[in-house]
Amino acid sequence: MKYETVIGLEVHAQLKTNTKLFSTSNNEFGDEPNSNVSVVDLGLPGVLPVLNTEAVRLAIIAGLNTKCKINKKSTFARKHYFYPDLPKGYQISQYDEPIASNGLLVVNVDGNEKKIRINRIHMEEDAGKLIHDLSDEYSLVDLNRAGVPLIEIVTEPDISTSEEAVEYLKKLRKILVFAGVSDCDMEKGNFRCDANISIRPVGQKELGVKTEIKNVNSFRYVQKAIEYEITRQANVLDKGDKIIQETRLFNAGTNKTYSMRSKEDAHDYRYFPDPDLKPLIIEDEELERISSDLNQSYEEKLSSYISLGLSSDDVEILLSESILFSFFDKSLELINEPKLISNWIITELIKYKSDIKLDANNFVELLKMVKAGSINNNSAKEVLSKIVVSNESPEKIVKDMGLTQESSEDFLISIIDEVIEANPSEYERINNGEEKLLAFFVGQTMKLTKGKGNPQIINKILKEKFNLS
Amino acid sequence: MPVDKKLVEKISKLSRLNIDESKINDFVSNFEEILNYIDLLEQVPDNSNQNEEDLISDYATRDDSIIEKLSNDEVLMNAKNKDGKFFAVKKVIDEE
Amino acid sequence: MYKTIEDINKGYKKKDFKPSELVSEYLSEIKLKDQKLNSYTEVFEDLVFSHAQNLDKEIDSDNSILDSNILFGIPIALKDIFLVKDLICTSGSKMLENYVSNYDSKVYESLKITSCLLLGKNNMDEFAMGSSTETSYHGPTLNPWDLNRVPGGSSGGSASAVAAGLACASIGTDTGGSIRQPASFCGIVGLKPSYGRVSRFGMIAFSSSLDQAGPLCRTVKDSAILLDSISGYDSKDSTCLNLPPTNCYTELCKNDFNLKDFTIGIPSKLLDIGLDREIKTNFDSLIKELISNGVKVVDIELPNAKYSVATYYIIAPCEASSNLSRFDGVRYGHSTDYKNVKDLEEFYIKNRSEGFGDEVKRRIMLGNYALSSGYYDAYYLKANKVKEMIVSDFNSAFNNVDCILSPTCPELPFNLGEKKNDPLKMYLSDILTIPANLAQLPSISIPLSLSKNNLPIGLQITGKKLDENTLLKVANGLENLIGFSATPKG
Repeated sequence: MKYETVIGLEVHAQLKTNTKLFSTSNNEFGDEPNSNVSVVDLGLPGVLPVLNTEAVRLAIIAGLNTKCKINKKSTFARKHYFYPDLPKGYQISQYDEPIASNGLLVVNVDGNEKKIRINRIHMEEDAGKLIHDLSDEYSLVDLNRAGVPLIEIVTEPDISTSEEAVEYLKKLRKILVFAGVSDCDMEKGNFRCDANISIRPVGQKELGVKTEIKNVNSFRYVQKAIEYEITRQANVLDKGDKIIQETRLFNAGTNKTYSMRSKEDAHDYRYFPDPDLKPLIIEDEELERISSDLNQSYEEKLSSYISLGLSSDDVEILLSESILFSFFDKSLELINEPKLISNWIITELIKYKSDIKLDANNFVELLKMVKAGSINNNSAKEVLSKIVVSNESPEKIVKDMGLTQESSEDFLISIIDEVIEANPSEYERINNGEEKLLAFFVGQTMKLTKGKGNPQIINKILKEKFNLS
Repeated sequence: MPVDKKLVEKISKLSRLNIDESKINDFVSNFEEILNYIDLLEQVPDNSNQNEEDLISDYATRDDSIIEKLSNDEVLMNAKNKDGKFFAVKKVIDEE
Repeated sequence: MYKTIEDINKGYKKKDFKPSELVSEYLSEIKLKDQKLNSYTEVFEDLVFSHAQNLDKEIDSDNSILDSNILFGIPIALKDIFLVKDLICTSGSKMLENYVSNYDSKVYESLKITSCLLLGKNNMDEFAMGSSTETSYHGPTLNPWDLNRVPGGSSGGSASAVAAGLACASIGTDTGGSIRQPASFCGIVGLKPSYGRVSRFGMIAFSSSLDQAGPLCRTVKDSAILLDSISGYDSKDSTCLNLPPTNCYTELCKNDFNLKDFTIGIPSKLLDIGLDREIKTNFDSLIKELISNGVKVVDIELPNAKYSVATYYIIAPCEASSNLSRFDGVRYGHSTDYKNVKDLEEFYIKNRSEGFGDEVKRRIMLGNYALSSGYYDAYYLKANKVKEMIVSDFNSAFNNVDCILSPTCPELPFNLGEKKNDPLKMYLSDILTIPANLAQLPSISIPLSLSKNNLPIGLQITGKKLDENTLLKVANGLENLIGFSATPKG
């Protein structure tokens, strides 16, 4: 029996705000347990939620970047269940009236375009964390994450293959990171994906019974989980059995999905509008303002970079983090050398991306020196490692460290002559055709110049001398 | 849905509550009486013309920059079961 | 011991007594009477006395503060639902028996800056659910007018304390009548402001869309003074209106109004519900008196008000069941011994079942039932639609009148234990107070008269939303006309 697959994806992305969605504690990963908790996060008696405007702005930006309609009125609802990581016994989410709806994402799989409709984007607060492996007797609760702002992006069941699913996730991630909405770091848990999968005989209109695969934390695993689940469901149906609608988890070790052992029936979440919060109204002017402030979309920026002559691989790296492409843009304003700037960013500056004190001016100064040949690449890398932290003028560092490259041909010729004199047998060999000894002579010359020789010029002189091409 | 012991047990489970065996019958009859009373609202015709409040964006919001939070000691202050900097609960088998 | 805020302020100015002396008097009255009455869950004897001594010094060095701040040195109490940092707050429940608050409620913050003296916390129905203060974990509070009878609820402790002269005033909360009904049962004044006037931050939530804090005190002017100090915008409460504090006391002191300036509305059909005969008689004679004094009195219709109890007993339990979900014993509150428990589910069930009383359990279950899948439309959604209809009724009525009058309660204060086993009967006694909560209107109860066996009967006046000024003027005018001055014996 041939089946076709129907997949819908729900992605939870943590918003890049300073504070949490409804409380004043900070939105930070990795701090000491229970150190980013306010009275509101703790769910103490008498506390009340107050909405973070920045979270709203980012949610709107996510909607605009996925071609959604931003709903003028949206409401918050309480979703009830009892669990130790949910302090109030309910999560504040959006149910009937989400902030954005009816969007679209287009992905490219093997050269084919696939349109994936987005049903809705809504805001909600994250729960805390339950840790099971630090104690034998107890599970431990850390509420740092409780209250962190999330957007949930829900697709229509438009996805048909595991490849499409992964492409969708990759594209969505790029868009959200690029727009500054979320860091989308799956390892830190700020980009989580749940997949709803069902299969049906080819041609059947009715959807099959779906299962939900939760919290798969890498794109590779998403692909494997979907593939396994499709096969599993096909096997079940082939045997004449029925698919059980349930939630499953993915075991990365076995590459299989397995049923969650839940003791109770499906949750009755008892959604109702949160009486502590007023409906969220987005005024036209506010939406105008956010839309016009919106940077180029990911697509637009991609094209503009490609038109500068950069390769699509390089562009992908540049666009993967805002620090990288904003550095690129600023540098480009100071020197029209897109390839040079791009290379230096994606191979060198990227190493320091977590903490760059350097500004574009000094960075471009360094690049100018490289271009002019007054220092060689290795020295430039050394200088960069210093100025990334100190943001000093590269000229000053080069002087202090005595790294000025020696480019004078006369000087270099005299050094080369010294090297030739010191290495007569190699000289004879290269003259007899052992071209690979070129590297030896370059190395020796560089040694004698204490690394400051201009390797391009040294090469040129040596090639001329030995009549090499 | 009949208002009986079964219903009361279902709802009490949902509410994470337990009604004492000795009190359950009274509870069920009180519950039934109250539910019968609030069914009065069925009489009210469904006036679907919702007078929408003016959509004024007078909603309370908060600046993202101001941070106010508790110290770890304050957070754990009223908890009976704790372990270091964490709250401690009976081991949970299901992993979300 | 029945001084008003104005009396005490005058007394301080004339140096008849000092704060520490006055506070000592209140404290000894409490010692004398409260063993029986049980209106306080906690008295802050040492704290309040040393605070009073500091105030003594302040007045000595500069007594002009008594001109600028009329609440200075006034001994008040707070219903045990308002959080005060580092102090226990129980909300009348075993669940929070030992709960120490990490922060101050806005109401307390507002009062603190007036330098009033906090005598202690008043007893209440558990989590504000009740009309008699019989559901409190700390035991019932008694009515000072008749120790066999209830003081009303849920702010019964507040009402009893003020009525017995154990506090000059107390701040309570009103969700379905919990300030006005006990004020009526105890022969004092109780004001519920418009919804959104007073911040709910730090006030343990019962029904979020209905709860409001308000004063229980001796006179309408006192209620104005207290409303002025606790009202006003708070950025920590999203439902608190973006308005400055009220300025009702100054308005009242202008004395530039007369009852004849206003049109009074009477919802006579609603009052056909079966009022106690004495209450009906007393109310009718007041109306006759108003008419003969030339006050305009008209009949008004509130056609959907008859559904208000049913509407309330869907909305309030729904919101309560949700608000009380946080009480699971994990981070605070009552929790059972782990030895008794086999897993997390049992832990939750035991904590909550041990911590909550029967009425609270009942309402949580009512709420969860009404919100559960399949019932939401029929119950919660429907109730909110009916609520809107009640709002419309009031809007129409207020086109023709400035205030609406009725008795506060359909019955006299009942005996302890009389209604405990009949929750529905208890709910039905809120019929006259609930409509104002549903419509978010300001409403006040003032003493009208005493019954033949010396039990207080209260008069309720309800005003237009956010028009506390008019409401309090009418209330003040009626208060003067009525001239009630009785106090409980003994």
